[in-house]
Amino acid sequence: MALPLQFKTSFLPLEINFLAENELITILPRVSMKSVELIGTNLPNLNAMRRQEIPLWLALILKAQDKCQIIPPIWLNVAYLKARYDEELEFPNRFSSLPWHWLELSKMLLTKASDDLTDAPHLIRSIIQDLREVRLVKSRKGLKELNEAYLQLDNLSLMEINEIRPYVAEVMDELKKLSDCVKKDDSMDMETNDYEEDENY
Amino acid sequence: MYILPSNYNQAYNHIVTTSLTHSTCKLVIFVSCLDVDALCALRILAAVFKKKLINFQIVPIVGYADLATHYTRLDADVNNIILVGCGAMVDLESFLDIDVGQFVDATRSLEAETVLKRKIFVIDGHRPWNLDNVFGSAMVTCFDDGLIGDLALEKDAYNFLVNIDDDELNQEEEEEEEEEEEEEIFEIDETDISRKRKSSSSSPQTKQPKTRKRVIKDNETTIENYYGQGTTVVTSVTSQVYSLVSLIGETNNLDNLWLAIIGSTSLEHQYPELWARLADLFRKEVRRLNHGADEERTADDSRLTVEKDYNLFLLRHWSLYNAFYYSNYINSKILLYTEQGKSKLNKIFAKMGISLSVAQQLWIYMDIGIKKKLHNIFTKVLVNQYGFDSLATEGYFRSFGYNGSVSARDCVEAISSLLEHEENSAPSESDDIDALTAEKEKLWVANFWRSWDALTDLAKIRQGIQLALFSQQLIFQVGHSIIEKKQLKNLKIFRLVVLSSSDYHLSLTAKNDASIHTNTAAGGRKFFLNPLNLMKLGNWLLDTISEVDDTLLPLVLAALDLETDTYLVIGMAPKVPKRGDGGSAALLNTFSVAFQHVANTTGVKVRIDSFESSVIEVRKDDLAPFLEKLTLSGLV
Repeated sequence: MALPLQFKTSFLPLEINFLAENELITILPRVSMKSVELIGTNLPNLNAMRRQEIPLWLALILKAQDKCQIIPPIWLNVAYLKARYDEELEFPNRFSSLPWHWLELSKMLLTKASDDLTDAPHLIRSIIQDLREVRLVKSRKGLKELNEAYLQLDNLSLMEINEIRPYVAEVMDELKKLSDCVKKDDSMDMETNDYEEDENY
Repeated sequence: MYILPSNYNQAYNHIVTTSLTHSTCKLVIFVSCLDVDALCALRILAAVFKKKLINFQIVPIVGYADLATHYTRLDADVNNIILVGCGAMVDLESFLDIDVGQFVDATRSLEAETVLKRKIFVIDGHRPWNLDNVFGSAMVTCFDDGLIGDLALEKDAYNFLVNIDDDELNQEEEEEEEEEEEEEIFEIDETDISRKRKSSSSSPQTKQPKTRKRVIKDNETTIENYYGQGTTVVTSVTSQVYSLVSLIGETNNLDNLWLAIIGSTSLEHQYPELWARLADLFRKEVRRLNHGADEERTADDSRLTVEKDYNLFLLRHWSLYNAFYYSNYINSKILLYTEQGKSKLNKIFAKMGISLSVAQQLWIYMDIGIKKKLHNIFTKVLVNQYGFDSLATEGYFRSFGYNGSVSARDCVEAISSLLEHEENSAPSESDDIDALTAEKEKLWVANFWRSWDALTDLAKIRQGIQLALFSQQLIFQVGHSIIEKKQLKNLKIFRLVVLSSSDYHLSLTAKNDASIHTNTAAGGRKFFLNPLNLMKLGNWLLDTISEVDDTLLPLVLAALDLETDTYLVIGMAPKVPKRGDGGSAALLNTFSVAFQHVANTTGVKVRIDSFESSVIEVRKDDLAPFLEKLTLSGLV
């Protein structure tokens, strides 16, 4: 996309949302539809009242037309998310395991298919906000540990990584430069030391 | 052609099947621009078509001339046209200069029945219907409100006259008529009325037997009476659209119902009997859709409730005192424009046991104890002692989660204020009347989209409410001064108020939100050049007059536009004072017929463009002769 420079280092939230729309989700169709072959994916046959996995973007279109019911993913309910939240608090040094697109998926489902969710939308929304905040704090704390060579991002989702990417990448570049200098200095030092030592001889 | 309420879905199905396409836009919706009701109806329609993945274009139009220009610009492959809130009163086929033969679909037509490629659907509450639309045209489909069935007499007369029109009127006379018509300068002179009236003046051939002549005469009188009875609004467009969507099963969410309620509420003040008819229906719908909603308030709460409301102005958005002071209802009851009236208001507050300092607090900061007792106080003092029977009414409230809630009435005030306030008030340099008019109309269209956005955005509604507070104060100020200066003249057959530019001087002391400049609408100078505002002022005057004067005289209001040197003139039907039962039928507005007649017979330069046919523009110098003729015409 033609974008200003500051947006080019990372994805836009919109772009990530777009990627997330390709995730598969289970639906319960209310109508039958023949399969469609597209360049990227093939959309399977839909039989009324038989569960089927289809890409989210299609599911949302069908949902908007009242042609299907979306089966919410197993992680999108208060009990599961609460358990993850407790886990986050219990282990301050690691992230709990959540899907790669949990933020985007939950946002889309909450706005466009809130009536299909098993729990009240406002409860889910608030627990997601809690989770997001605690993870944000953790990832910010983690920035202290930044070094030039290595960064572990276990269980962080794409959106969360994307948020810290511009900063982290730049800092790591700088650190790399610094450490390169230090290394060079070290080797120079060694050389001069050698020289001095030589002189001593 | 017309379609019964129970068959609306057939029209819908036709539109859907003939508009679904991969390529170009085949559905165009023309919507009356200065009309809250039409705006809401359109939002419902737009949501439905969007859901069906149908491409469509929305064109807000300001008047008949605009409608005609936009119509001529349409692509040839536009199959369906929907007119929302306009078009019922003109003969669309001849007005838009449509050659029906051009649109005959030869591939699908059978011998017995021709199938047209293009159809025009009219959803409009203005009456009387143009009979050509209803009974004559194959292309125009009118959404009936269930009342066309009552027009059996007119239908027979119409069919009879149409059949003789062709064979019995001789050629020369027709030519004569055409010449006559060309001479006229008015934009809307092609309506059926004038044509029919002319054919009545032309003498049928002498060989016709006398009885035949009389039959023709009778039928013509029937038609003339039908058109001459005056105009009114019999139904809200939103309620028609809502019955359409309920037929196709799109009423499972609150949004459509909320829009329908807002749209219909917008007509409540002017046509109370219309609202009374619809209120019951809406109450049932609200109950149906709210079934199972729990009591607890949550962040996603968007419920719709029916609660007690009062005929006070925007009670929840400023102080109790102001809500009383600026309420049309209270104003007309206690004659607030007099000194006695003002002291009476203070007395009322004393009797209610609410101190003035409390009453002048902003509503949200007012003592919660008083708020809770308010209903009892109102019933005890206002209803029992003062007899303000219709003070307490029912209101519909929509909540927006933790952001608060808003009532349908407040919403109407907000939206209509957004429609009528010209944001950009830079004085234009152009002197050309046409350019100025075009500029004004462009602003109206911009306002239309602003209001469109505001319908779903609480923050924008709040902005609109601020504007509404502003305009209400202005209307009161001008209204009071009209009465003080005795600018209201009681003529023999109507009352007259002429506003010249010096009357708009603003001395608004009320605190204004930053969003409203005091130079909104050029410091009020242009404020009453918007028909909606002028009509609000007219309503205010009618409310006030109805309590002091029993004679039911209609009202003519004229406001001068200095830039274009024209008067905006509106005629309004008289009002029966508000009583507890609320059963009085609104009187028909006879000005539309009278205006047209005067314009046709005198040659005064008049522009009749608005969809409200009783709103016209007259050149400054022509106002006096125009009014004189109006008085003499005896049509009012």
